[in-house]
Amino acid sequence: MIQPIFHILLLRRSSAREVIEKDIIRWTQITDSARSEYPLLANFAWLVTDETLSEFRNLFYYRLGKPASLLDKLLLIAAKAVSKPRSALSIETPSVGPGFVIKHGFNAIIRAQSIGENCMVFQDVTIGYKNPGGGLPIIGDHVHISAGAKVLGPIKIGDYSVVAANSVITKDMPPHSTGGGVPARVIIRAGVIDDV
Amino acid sequence: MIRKFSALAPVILFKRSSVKQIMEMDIHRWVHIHNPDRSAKSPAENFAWLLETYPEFRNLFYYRIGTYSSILGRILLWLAKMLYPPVDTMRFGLSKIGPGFFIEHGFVTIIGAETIGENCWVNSGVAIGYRDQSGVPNIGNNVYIGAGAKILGPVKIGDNVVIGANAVVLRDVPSNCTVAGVPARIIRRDGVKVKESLSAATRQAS
Repeated sequence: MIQPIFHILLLRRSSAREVIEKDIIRWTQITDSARSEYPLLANFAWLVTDETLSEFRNLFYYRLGKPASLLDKLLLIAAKAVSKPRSALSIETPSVGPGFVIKHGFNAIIRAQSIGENCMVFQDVTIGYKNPGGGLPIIGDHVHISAGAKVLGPIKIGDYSVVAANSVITKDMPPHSTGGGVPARVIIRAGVIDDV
Repeated sequence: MIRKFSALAPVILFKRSSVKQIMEMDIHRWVHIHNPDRSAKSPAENFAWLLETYPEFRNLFYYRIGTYSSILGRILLWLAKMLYPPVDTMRFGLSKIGPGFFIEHGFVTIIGAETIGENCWVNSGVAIGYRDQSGVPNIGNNVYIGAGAKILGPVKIGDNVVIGANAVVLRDVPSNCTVAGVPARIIRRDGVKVKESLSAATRQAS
């Protein structure tokens, strides 16, 4: 088990350690709840080495940010060499809350102004600007963005909202609502299904 | 001057290429979009910078230069591809693409058009290609294709068209329109909000 040694060192040295630990706990719960009894570092080693979960590495390298010292830089190069991040996944958000989960993460572009805690993003999702150079979305806490959804423009997605699969969201969504369709409308508002 | 030694092979390929002028127009557009402050620098310098920073630019570069028959060309291309690997989920097919073509991210992007005009813009998750065996799309100038949009079959897209995110376009689109939805409808024509189906627009034109 030599592979995750660089990752464990990076985790111990990182200033974002607490946030990463919250990520690990949530990823373990969602991906394989039988593992939640295991020690945190064992789960971390599993997450960074499992080939089918390489999207976790993207998140981990994103959390580490720019290496602060030469040692960190070398560790990061070694870590990336032994376990490569997923190629078609890009996180370009200045602040992402703890407990952020990316599922599958193929062709996911996550470029928001900010993302709250415990959010979840699936594959084929684009979060970004609507017009080139325009504003970016602000995403609340506990938001679930399903596969293929596009969240575009300077909008606000409220807490506990669900963005349905393949929908295109270009307007604000209130908290506790579900939005879907092209262009998206609110389908469920505060737990009550809207008349269609 | 080029600071990075590793960029030598691609820069030689770029300078000796027969499509250098088209590539210079591409570089001009990419620099203008990503970092206009750099526009005063030389094309070769900007070329090295784009190659270093944006993997999707590498896809465009390898597509533009094509293949080589000479041994030296092949070695340089192999070296360039080793040092600057392109985005692995992007394909160009047999498209003829005009200058000033811009790609954003380029993840899972399949560009199988017959022709694409000048100054087009393609986002991630776009598929342009076959619907059945009947043919592939022709795309005009200044077309913006949003993330996840699909343009399928032998359709004709006019000039100055915006195709919204996740739209599915299976019919011709007239010039100066914005289309969106599944199936795609015209939501804006010459800057005015409208609601028109694409089949009605085709009938009107013919």
